[in-house]
Amino acid sequence: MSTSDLDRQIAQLRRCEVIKESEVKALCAKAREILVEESNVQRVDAPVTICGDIHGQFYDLKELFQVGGDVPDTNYLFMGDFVDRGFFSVETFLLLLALKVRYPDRITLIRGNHESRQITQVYGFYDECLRKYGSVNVWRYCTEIFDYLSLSALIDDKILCVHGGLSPAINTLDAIRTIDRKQEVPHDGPMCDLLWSDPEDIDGWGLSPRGAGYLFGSDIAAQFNQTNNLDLICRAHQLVMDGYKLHFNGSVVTVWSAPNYCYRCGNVAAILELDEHLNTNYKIFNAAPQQENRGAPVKKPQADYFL
Amino acid sequence: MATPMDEGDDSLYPIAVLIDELKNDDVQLRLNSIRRLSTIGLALGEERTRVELVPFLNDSIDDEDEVLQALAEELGNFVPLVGGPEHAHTLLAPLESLAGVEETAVREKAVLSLRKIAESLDVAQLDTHLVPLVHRLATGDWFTSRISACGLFAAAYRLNNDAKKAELRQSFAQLCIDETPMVRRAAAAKFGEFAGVIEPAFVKTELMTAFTALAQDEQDSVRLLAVEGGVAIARLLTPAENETLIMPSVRAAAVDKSWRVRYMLADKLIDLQRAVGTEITKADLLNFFVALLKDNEAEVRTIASQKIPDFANNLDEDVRLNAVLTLMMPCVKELSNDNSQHVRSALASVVMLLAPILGRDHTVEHLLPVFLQLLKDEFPEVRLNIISKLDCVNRVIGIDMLSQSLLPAIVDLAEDRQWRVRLAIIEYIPLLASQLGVEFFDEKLSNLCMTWLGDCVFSIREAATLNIKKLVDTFGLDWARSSIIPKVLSMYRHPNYLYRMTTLFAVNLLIDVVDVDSLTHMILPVVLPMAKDTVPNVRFNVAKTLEKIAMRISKDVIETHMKPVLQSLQEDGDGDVKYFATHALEAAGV
Amino acid sequence: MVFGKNTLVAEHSASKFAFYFNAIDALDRVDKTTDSVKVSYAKEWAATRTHSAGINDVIKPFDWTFSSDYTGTLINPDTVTITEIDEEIDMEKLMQRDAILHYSDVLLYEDELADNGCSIMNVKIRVMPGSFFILLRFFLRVDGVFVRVNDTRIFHEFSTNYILREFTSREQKFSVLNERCAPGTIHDLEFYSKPQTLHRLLDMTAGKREKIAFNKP
Repeated sequence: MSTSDLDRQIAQLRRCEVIKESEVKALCAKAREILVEESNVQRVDAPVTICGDIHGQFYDLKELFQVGGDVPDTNYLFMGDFVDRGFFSVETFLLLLALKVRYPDRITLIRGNHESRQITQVYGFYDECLRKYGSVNVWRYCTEIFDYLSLSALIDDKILCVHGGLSPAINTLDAIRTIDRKQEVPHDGPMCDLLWSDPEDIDGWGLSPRGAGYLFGSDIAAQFNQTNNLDLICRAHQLVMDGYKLHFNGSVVTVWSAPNYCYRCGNVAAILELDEHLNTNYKIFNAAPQQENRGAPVKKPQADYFL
Repeated sequence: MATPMDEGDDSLYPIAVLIDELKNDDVQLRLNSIRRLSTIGLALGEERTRVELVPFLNDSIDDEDEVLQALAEELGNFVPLVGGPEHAHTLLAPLESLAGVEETAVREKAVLSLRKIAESLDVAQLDTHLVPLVHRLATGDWFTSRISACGLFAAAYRLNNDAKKAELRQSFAQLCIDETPMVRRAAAAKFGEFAGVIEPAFVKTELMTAFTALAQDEQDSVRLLAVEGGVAIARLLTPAENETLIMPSVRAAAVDKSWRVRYMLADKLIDLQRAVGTEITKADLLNFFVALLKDNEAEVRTIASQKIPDFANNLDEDVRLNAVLTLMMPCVKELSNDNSQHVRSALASVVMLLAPILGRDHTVEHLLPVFLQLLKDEFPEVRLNIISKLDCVNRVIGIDMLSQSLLPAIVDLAEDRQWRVRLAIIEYIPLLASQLGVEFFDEKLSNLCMTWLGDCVFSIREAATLNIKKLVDTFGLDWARSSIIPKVLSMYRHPNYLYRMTTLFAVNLLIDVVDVDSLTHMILPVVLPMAKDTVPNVRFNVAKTLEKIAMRISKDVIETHMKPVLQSLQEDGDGDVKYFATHALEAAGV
Repeated sequence: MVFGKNTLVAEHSASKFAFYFNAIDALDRVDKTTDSVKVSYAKEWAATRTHSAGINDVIKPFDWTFSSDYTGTLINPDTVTITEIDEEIDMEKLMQRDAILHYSDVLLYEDELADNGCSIMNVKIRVMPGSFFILLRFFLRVDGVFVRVNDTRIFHEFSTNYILREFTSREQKFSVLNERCAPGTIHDLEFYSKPQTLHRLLDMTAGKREKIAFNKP
């Protein structure tokens, strides 16, 4: 696959047009070569712009690039959940993956809990692949690549980026480094926790009432940051209406990058711009304007004879 | 998906294999074989297609809707395969069955194919084959076939036989009062088309009763389709006839209890206006239009607002200005305060177009206050719609007046928190600049343009650089050298790499418009040291910029100043910097 | 996501009696102290936890599925008399295709259950020339565990002096659903997300029929 092929595919994906199944296969093979070399705690240099969940909202991702600048001119780190729920998971993930292959030093992708075979079969990515390609091969290629995505990133040794949060089984960054990540996201254990856990206003650790998943309090975050000489834990995973939310006196932050989530939540989205001196700058943005019938009245729902 | 076969193999496909495939359990396989029908027809030859294939297909109409839909579509292309128009009628039987099935998509395809085939039939064939088919469908027990019938009348009417034509008209009229609402809906939808092919005399007499029935139907979904039929008939009638035949129904639609009917009337009002002529417009439509602008439902007000300028322009010149001033402007003022943002947004997208009708003085007195109000609207799309149409007002009241009254508002919007609003303002700046002149610009707008270069949103910075280029086009090189280039270049010291790169992006655009001397002595000395920036993104943008500069400057300068810098970038630790430096060196030919 | 500003009000103009549907009252009926249901992989998850000592506290236990048996808030309830009855709402009448003069579909709340399914409550109304009909529906899907539908149907014929209200709660385990429907539909989110098609596969767990009669004719 030549650079010009790749540039053409990127141009095509930027227009929200899918690329051929054979091209996806080649792209994933190339991506695997790059991702397999990345650490579970992938080192990233500032300046970089950190983004949260995208969830297949392709036109909102384009809006994100309009606000933050394009790849490769702006450096990006995406904290997972590229797919599911939105209408364009295929185009969204393939565009990010193609950019990763074309500019591996300019964009970092880490894994979210939706980058999983099981979750994507329930929340839309599987069906979307089947609908857009007529077979599940593309889903298979993509989910194989999910297994190679890194679990976290460390910016200038000071800021840890991870999709969900901390794990009681992990006290040091080295403990993350020892995980064998090349597998489906397990239902339990440290790898699962990194992608699933949430911060909560409690002391110590707690269990979610759902019966699975950990909640971690401010003391846990403070202890982890101190042990590992970190300033900040940056995570995504939970919808926040204002696009970002600081927890525990600013030792943890949630960044959410899917505006008007699921096309109806009414939230704004945010990205976190870190400059070369690690100054933080949160940029808020709205959903892209309606693609069709801009300015047309919102039609009332069609009446039906429900029973 | 079956492996595609050689074209050669396809042509040998015997009908037995097709039958096998059509009986296969796998829907996909059955679908594939339907999609190959024309190839099979071709291989079988006209005769066997007629006597074997078509009857076989006719017997196999008991399948998944997806397969039937494909079949209905394929049969529409079969006329050449059965031996041309003279045998086309053999295709009618399977399509007649398909036109009666439950699934709408299948029926619609079948009707489309029937219409296509009807075109190839001569008058005698229509008479013997299609007309009886239409009557059978129209009197079918199951309402689905009656729905399909509605779409075939216009195609079947091309006859010489007056008695049979009369029967068709009667049959259609009957469907307009069918007991099933879906059938009446289909008749209403096809009403205009049928009215267009029958003799005008009969429109006025026989079809009028049917139209009135549809327009008074108990179902709003039928009544709203009748509006379109009404417009179609109105085009065929004289003003006097319209007054007595059509206008009563229009009056009823204007006050219909269902908002969807009123919405449809508002949507079709311009067409209706053209169809009934200026007298009826003056006497009646104008009042209906004003009522629709004041409708209780926001959806209706929205669509009506969109029609304001077209409606006004279609008015007779002798009443136009007065009608706009006395009847429409009070509505416009009210709509600019409407509770619904969609209404205000629709109004904002068209209201400027009234300026040419009102002329300078009235625009200043009546329209400007509305603009100013909408420019401050809380909903960004409203503000955006106003700004993007400002040039209409320019032409009417002149730039002086506009700048006095609107400039403060524009300056406010230049700092709007919605970046798309700022973007719309930026895009308007070159026009404004060219009309205001350089002095006024330097005094009032120059600072704004520089502020945008440092905007927190990338797209604004990008638009701001493009704006700078357009300003240089407008005001010339001297102005660029003294006012703008130094300011653009000063941004290279910004502590954030994204803003340092803005200098490079601006330079990239300026390369094409500035002279070689400025390029060599003002711009290049700023760009070259940026190759030592700590951030790789800046360094590779230096390489990209140098590649472009090299196209314009002398070989000497390239050799002595540029080449060493690019060569050092080629040794950079960052892969992208290396890539773009190498690219630039190759392009520069050094 | 709580759509707190969304409401549906159906008022009897003479008596000022009204049904008032809103998210806050609906959520008020969610159990705030127990967390009976667990996600599909909870057992598996807990099993590996036995050695991470000391983490046993469930934080703010509550019914995280947001299940609610809300049947609408009554305004001026003293103007009516409510009795439990056996009479069912006549579905034949509701199947007549009378013209719909007014229609509305109002979302009250919805949640993704942290990617473990969905929980949604909405209320729909249609007004015909001789009657109106309201369907308030809570729909819950806990992936791999179970599906629950709580329906409140309210039907009034303008010619009568009373309103009928029916509440039903139905649910079914995924294991049973999987047995009762074609294999392969497990990927079919559509299938598990449509209460109207699932209906016949669910078992009724609670129900109540009421007649709400106006005190003054």
